[in-house]
Amino acid sequence: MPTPVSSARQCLTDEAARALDDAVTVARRRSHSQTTSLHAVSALLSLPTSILRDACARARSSAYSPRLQFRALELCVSVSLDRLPSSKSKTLDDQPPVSNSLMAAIKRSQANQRRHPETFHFYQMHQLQSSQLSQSHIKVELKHFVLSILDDPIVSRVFGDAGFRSTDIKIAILHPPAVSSYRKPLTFPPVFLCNLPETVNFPFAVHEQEDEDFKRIGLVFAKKTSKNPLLIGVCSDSVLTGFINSLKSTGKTKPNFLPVEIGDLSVVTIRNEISEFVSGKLSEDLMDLKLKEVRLKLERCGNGGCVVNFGELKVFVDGELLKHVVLEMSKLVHDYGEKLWLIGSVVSYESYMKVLGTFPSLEKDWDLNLVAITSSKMNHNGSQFKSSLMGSFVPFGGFFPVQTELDQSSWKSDQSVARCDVCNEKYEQEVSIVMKGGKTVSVADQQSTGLASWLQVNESDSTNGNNVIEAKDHGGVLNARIMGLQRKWSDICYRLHHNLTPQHDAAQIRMQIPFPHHFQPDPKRPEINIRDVDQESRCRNLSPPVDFFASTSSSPTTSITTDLGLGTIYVLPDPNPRPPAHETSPRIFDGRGSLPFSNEKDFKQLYRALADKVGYQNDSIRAISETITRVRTGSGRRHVWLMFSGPDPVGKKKISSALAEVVFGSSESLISVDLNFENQTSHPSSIFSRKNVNFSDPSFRGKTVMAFIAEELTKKPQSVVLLEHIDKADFVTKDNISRAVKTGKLLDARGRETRITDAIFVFTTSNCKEENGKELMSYSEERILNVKALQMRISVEKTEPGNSSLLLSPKDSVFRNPEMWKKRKFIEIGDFEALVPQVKKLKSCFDLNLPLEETEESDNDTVSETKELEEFLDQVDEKVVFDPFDFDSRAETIMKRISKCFEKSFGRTVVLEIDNEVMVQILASDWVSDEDDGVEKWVETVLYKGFMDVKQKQVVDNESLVKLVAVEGVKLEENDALCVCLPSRIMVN
Amino acid sequence: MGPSILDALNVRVVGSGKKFLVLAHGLGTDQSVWSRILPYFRTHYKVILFDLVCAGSVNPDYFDFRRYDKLDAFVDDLLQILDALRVDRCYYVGHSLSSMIGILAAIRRPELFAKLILIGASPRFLNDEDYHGGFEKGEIEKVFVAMESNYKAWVNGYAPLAVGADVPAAVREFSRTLFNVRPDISLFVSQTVFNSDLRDKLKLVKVPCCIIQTAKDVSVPSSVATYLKENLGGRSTVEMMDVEGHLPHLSAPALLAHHLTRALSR
Repeated sequence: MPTPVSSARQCLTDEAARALDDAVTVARRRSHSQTTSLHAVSALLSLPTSILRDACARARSSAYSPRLQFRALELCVSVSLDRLPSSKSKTLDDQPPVSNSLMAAIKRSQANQRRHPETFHFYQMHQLQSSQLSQSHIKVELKHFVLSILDDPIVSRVFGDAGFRSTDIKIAILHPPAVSSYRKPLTFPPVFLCNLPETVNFPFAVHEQEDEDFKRIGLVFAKKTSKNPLLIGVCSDSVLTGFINSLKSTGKTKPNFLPVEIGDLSVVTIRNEISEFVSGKLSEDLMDLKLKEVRLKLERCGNGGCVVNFGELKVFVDGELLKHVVLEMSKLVHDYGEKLWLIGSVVSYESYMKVLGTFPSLEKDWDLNLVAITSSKMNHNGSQFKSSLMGSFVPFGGFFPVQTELDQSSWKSDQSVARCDVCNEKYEQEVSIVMKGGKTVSVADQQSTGLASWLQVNESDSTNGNNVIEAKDHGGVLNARIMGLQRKWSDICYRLHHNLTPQHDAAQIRMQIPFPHHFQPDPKRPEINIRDVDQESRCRNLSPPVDFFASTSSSPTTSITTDLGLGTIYVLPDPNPRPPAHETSPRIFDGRGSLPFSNEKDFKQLYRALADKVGYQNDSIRAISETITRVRTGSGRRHVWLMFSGPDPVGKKKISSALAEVVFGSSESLISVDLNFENQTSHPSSIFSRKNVNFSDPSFRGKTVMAFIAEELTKKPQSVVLLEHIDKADFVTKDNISRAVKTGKLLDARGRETRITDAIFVFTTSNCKEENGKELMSYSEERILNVKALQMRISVEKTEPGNSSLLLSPKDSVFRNPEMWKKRKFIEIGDFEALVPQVKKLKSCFDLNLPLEETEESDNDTVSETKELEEFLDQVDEKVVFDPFDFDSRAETIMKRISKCFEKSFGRTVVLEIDNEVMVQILASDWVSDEDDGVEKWVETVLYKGFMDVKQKQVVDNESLVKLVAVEGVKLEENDALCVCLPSRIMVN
Repeated sequence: MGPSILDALNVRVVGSGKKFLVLAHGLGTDQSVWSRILPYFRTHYKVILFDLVCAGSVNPDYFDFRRYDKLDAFVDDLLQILDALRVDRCYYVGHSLSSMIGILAAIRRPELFAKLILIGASPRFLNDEDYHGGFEKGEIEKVFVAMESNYKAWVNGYAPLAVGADVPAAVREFSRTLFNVRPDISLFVSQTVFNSDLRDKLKLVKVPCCIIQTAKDVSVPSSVATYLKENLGGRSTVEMMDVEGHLPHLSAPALLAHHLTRALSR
């Protein structure tokens, strides 16, 4: 039964009653039969300065313009109102009675207000005085009235449609904007539905939080690389000041938050100088002097070190002026890396990105490590209360995407303390990964689901799961991610090591909240999780041959936990991400573990695995393994840049694919692009062009090279990226790559940045400055690269041997023709003599397919291009020069095999003539083949069978020549080819 | 006196090179279509970008239905822009409609153009006795009816067909610019294009041309490229691109950039 308006009004204060009157007016105007919460919302929103409107303005997502979002909200409300049935029989002055749901909301707020500590005693006294005092005598204030209305599922759905989260709005109502003081006392929600702005004070929590931050900074200090903390967060500046002050004030006694291995620290603060310098108050000379002073101090300080506080990073945005300063400081870091600690703060990730835009290599040069100052920030904007608010009376809470934190609320309110050390450490690692743009749990995705579909930005690319792409302006997302991480680790900690009892009586809350499912800590649950994870990691251990570079930070072993009832999905990372087999490998992030021993071991393992796979180019492999081991274990950076130059493009490719297999576990982890545009068009039928990713490849459609790579890397961040012919790349691509080497980020077509986390980049150049030692060589690389895969035929003839064919004649053969010796090299192979035609090496490659370019233009280009290339070469981690593939010795080995087979079938009297094209084809196949003796096998089976077939069909006497020729124009079908490009059957006639 | 033509047609000159390079967009797009091509040329050329008067980004009031019923009016616009910028010689890259405009402009002022690069060009879209333009009269009429009755539906059908459905981002981009054009203008210019016939004018072109033709283009069959090469008056070459679609600058920017570089250097 609906309640008459007059009796509902009795429960409200004047202010709230006015709001109710407005709601009633709305309902009457629309001639609805009842006044509902929606009417109240509509009425509240229509006032220009209502508490609700104000709260919405603060709670709205910053992604949209306020005007747009309010418009959306109004639309949603009016649409929902339109759906309500209207009554016909009522007269105009009749007031639509208050609906049950709205009345329930009023009752709820009464109950809520009664529990309010501020008024608690007052009511209790009243109750003592007169026991008849019923609830209805409590006058509900507007604030509580609004809060209860927001609990109404219809209302929160409407807000959800408009892209608001009613929980956010509640928080905004509870926390008036005036609150701006840093580190406002931590408040804990003591009881269910206690939407209280100021309640109990935990005096120790503040201190612990501060200590916590300091300790984290201390941990960063202790690192070997990226040890210079950059505090990031709204309150980072005050934390920084606090940290510096306590460093100073402790004087000789070492502050407890610093790790033991750090000696005495002195502090130099140059933030004032910098800001004065920027504003022009300080001359450049004085600035220089200050920096020199720092340098002097560093030189003098013996055991300990020096902390240089450069303050707020934001001033560095206007770059030109400070370029010099940045450079000087980079030098300082470079020169006194061990004794110098830089420290600074930045308010938000956006500002940081802006500064990085000015100084792209700042992070590397200053060896910065982002330290998120999350906790104080959390207090500040009050998001921490979210959890406690979720638990209010919404019967279908789980229905809405936002109501997800409920199950963690009981213990999470004290999260930073409640987590054990292990989990805290891991949490911090993940936060730092997030800051660096690593693989993350996309809490942001969940957030966006709160928006109505028509309000969501079409972000098909950026919201797919574990994306690494971060749009520059997504600080909000970042915060959301950090929060998600916090929650996740607390959750894990709670499940796995719940040895810490939460400070509140969780059970009590649990009883009151109408959410029955999995709220009780399930004793079986952690075990299941652990077992799953163990199994998974064991499986993983089996697959990759040498997994010692398996990433620790972005663990690929993840199991997904779904809270069915609440619809939350987050990725629960493997609590023990390291496969136990590889304990010897050093942990990247602590920097202390990189012992020379394990380094050496890693190197040897890698070297052996690669050498096994490739089989030659051992010097190059040694250099490559060394570099990778050095970079990935030593410097804390996981992406490696290699340049392969010299001849043997096939070998380069093989090594890259072997790297993918050895380091990342699968040859599928190879992303290969040939940047030489001409290659894509000029030799389409050559056997070597088959496997290249082409510009006309379907996967390349609509993208630039870099966008393609960025996209592929997003899909599989752990990959070997092989970019062939970097010298032939267009300059846009070159420019992007060179930038990527400097900053560790890839820029895609839309200007978004993708962090390179764990990839190995391999560039190859095609300029082989072959030494002219061998002027005459039988087989040039070029010739072999252009070979076509053709069918072969064996015939018996009595003609003269061709000019450019290879002859294998038994020593005792009578067939001796002086012509044969001309222009041929003589090699003795067992019982046979081989006569190999010799080819003069071409001086330069002259491709008729290519147009002759205008000379003046190309001259300029080549000069600048070689310069560019040299600059580029200086940036890579290692240049590896490949040896040429020794075709001649391979040819000899193969000929020996052929002669044996030939002898077996025809005896020692007949001469075999092999068309040079065939020989080239065989060599090419040998070069490309992954197997060591693939060609030998082919000789022994296919070729031998061919010989035998000929012998059966034709008469072979001493005078005849057995010819093995290529059949022009009959190309091998892919599936017909054995051993890459040799026929599986040889034609005979 | 309205605003100057440079303002009205959003003319921009970007880049630091010495030579001028004009990038002229086709029907249903605007200068933003070149955004992925532009980086490849801005260091070597001064790139001139502008919108055709029929583009969605130009104030539709400037589109005078009486004036723009012939391609010559578009040619006037182009030459006026080049004169206003005091360009004495330029390379011209034109796509579809703009390639026709380029051909006509090069006939009128041959000294102005160092080279024409024509992408998806066709002198005549309708089939004739011994000429295969790709469209029958009846088909065209049907298209016009479709455009007139439901522009949106037509765009949604045509865009993936023209670009290639496998590049959703490019299709979105093309649809966006197509939608920006006022339907009546779009229809009117389409009619103008389909009614014009440049075949007998081709031999008047003395400027060297390069015809870039994709392997599969819904609007232009590849025989047209051969026809152009044989009938253009100057030295001309054909570059075949091993991709599909009428808008390679959207669907295969990297490859088109390479082809353009090669065509420009010849």
